[in-house]
Amino acid sequence: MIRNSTLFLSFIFLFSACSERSPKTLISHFEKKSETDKVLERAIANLGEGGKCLIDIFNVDTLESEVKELEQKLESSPKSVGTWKHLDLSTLPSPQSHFLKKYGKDLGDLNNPDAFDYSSCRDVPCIYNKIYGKEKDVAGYVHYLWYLRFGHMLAADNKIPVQKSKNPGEYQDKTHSFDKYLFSHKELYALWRLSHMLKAPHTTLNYLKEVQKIPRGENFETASAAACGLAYSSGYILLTDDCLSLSSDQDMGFLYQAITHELSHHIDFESGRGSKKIYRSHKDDYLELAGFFMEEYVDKDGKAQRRWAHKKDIKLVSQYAGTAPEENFAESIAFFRVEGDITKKNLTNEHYDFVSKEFYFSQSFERERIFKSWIEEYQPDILQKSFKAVIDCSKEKSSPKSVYFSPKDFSNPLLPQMLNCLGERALEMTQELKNKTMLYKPDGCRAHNHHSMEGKWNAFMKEALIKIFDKYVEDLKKDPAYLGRIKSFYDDLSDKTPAREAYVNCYGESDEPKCFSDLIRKRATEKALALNLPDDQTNELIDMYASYHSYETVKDELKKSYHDLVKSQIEGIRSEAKTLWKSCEGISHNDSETPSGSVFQIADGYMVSSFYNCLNSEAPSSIKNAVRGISVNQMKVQNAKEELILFNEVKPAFLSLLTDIYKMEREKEEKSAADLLSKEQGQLRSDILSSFHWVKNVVDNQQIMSDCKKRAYELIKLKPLFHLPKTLFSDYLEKNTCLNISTSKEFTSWLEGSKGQFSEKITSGLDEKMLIAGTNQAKACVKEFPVDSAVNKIRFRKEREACLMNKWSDLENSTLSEVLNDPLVIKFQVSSVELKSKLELNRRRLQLRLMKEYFN
Amino acid sequence: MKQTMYLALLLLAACGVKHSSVDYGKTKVSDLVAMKGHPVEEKPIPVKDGKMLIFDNNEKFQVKDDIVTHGFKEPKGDERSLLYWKHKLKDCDTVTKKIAVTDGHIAPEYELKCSAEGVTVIYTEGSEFVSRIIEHDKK
Repeated sequence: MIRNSTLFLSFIFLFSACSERSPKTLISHFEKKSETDKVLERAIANLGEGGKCLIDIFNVDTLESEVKELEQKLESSPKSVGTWKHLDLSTLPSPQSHFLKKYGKDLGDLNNPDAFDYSSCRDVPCIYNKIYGKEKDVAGYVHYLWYLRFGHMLAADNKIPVQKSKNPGEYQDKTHSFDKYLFSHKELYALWRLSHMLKAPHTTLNYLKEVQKIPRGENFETASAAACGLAYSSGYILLTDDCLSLSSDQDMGFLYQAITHELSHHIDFESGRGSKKIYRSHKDDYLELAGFFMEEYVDKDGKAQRRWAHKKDIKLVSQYAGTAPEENFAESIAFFRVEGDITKKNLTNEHYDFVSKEFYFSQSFERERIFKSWIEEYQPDILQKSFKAVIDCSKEKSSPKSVYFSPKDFSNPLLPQMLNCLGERALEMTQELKNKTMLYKPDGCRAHNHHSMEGKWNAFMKEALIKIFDKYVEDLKKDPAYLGRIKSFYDDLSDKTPAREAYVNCYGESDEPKCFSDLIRKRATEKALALNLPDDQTNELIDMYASYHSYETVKDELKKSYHDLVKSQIEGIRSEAKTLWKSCEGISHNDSETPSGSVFQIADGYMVSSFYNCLNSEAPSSIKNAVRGISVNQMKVQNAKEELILFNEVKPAFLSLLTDIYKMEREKEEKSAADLLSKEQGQLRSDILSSFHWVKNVVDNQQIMSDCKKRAYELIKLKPLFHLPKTLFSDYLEKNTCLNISTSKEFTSWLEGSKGQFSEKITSGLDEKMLIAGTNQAKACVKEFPVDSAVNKIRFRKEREACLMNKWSDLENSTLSEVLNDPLVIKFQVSSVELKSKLELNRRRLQLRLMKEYFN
Repeated sequence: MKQTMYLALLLLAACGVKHSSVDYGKTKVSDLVAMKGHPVEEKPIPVKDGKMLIFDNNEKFQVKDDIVTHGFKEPKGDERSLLYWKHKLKDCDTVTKKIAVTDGHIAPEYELKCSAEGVTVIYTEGSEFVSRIIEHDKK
């Protein structure tokens, strides 16, 4: 019966996983809003001629269109409410209102909020442009597009998140003019280009808050001059000029590698979170893959020393990649994207495949690979154009002479006019796609213009086109109506909805790629069979459909789409986070339980365990509520698998919001504590000196200080929830309340009055010490002269007793000398004669007790 | 009934957590080997008359003059959380020190040391995770 039930459940699960009747997904509705995300491609139409690069369309018009496109996709309800200066947030597009709500306080000159006149602004790009002192400029759009694509702020303010000075505009003990914090026009272009180069996981980081440049010309305050970028797991990336350097060809320069490297550190942090390690790169599999191990020891001063070392035959993309696994990780991922050919040569195959699969959805970026991937990406377009070319050319009576193809390129004999016609069409298609990729792809001009790639684009395209043309010609020969029949199949190829649905329905399956492939092939088969083609042609169509909708491509696109969907729903998620915080805040608090759970964490901060445990136990159901609150066009989540995907996407956003609340409350608590101490005016010291039950040791000043502080923590009314009492109060107590407390009038007078009590304590302490010393000796004697049998008990009786008695005098002397050195004995001048007579008095009683206890 | 009880006891004994009984500063290498078996590897360290004995699961013991002075352990379960340690050591006069100055692009490591409990934990600035536990003698 159990087996039957399991079988039954398996069927249901299989059905829910693979059935095409699975409930509709939200993501299909969400994606329909942005199917026309082709701003750059539209820009091509306006350019007219070829040979242009991405930099040629770096202008306000292009950027403005991109903003509109992305905003349309991220539009949501509810919107953020409130105001930012003169702007009513509810009247702005949702992404702008969310941006101003989150980052509105961190814009511009933070020394003087009125330094820039924003009154004429109606949108975020305008606000940024005012900060740059410009009107309708690319600067404002690049900053805002960075937020739309990456979800964090590309800062334009004068306070570095981890600077020493509390004052904005001060860094490295100098005051800096505001313009030194802003990016140059060239840097802005490179940042925009980089935003096109990177995809998930670089664009789906959940805990990164901002990327900020430090004042031009400065090095970091806290790190060596050698570092040009710093990544903080608390959510920041800082950059110096060196990390922003560019070549005269602005598609080249260290900036691309450096920023990708710092973003990759955040991938390392975030992937590590799930693995219970600080960094993904510290997991055993990566250490093994990259060849690192830790050398650690404690030095002669008791200080821990830890250094990473690596195997001698390690393969590295750069020398720096050999300094630590986390640097190796970031460096390998950055090189992989920016310097594909160098990376392929310098990494082991295993490491190369790992980076490709884990962080680039199985793509790679060697120049030849890039060309091939573009041809794959544009396959539907190429197929449709080839399809039309073969039909047109089969009817063409005369065509200009072309030497592009030769008759032996094709397996079928072709009439000269058809060969000429196809050659002409092929040339057009090759050039058109070259122009398109040069302009549209961020790697376009770099790849096409590289000296090693001369002629390769044409060769790759020719190879692809020969295959396609040849096949169509063959099919046309067999069945003149064939091409007409498969037209609908091609038209359907670019519809991504079925692929998205298949991905969602296979999410979490033990073999996701297989499940996905099965579903996609099933759909392709249904469509292909409807065409009534011979088996080999049907199979070819199925293979083509499956290869176009590859698992990795769909996964890549959906990762970003779900991230964007969650970003668009941030207000609902914020509301759930606030509700949870309030409900846990309301319980009665204590710090006696062990803090447990790791859903919500607080970095290196503190929180009383009752609060922490409440948040951790309740967070999963709050996240579930947030997921169920998500809606697109009034549609709520219906698909169980999609709910799971959304849970995993909402979770980091939810926890990040909870962390923001924690930080805010922690700051408030710190202020309350400072306020309380500034007003207490010595009352606390008086209260502590009103009784002395808290004193555990009267001679050790360090201990008295420690006890005084503990007593103070008891008396202070503010019971912190987000700090250890010592963090908030210790410094103040040491310098004020408990300072010289043992020499205070009250303390000295209490001590004098308690002298009798202390003498008694000393003598009882002497007895205890003698008992311990005697016990140890008795045990040693039993070891030497055992009592493990009746015979041995009698046989060694005299030796055992002698063993104890002969040592007794030594034991008394060492105990006495120890007690005479006790600070209490010295302080109260207890005489050695008095202590000796006490020992003599108790001697026989103690000896008999030990013999009775251990020798019988 | 008796059999079930014995079985339960046996199971409890088999699954029970084995606590390290190394007395740092006193236990000799021979005692350690008797307790844990032979180390997988021995490595020199830049401490006079010192060496590192490496066991399975990345457990290491630092030795000086044949005496075990420190144990290096991987944190498990709640031990991985820095809050767990801050809570556990809240009554201890802990000392926090930066332990590694690197030219890296990421935050440095710190040690949180409680001499009275004979334990030091290693964590990274701004992170909630403890990467290593070092046991030593109690002072």
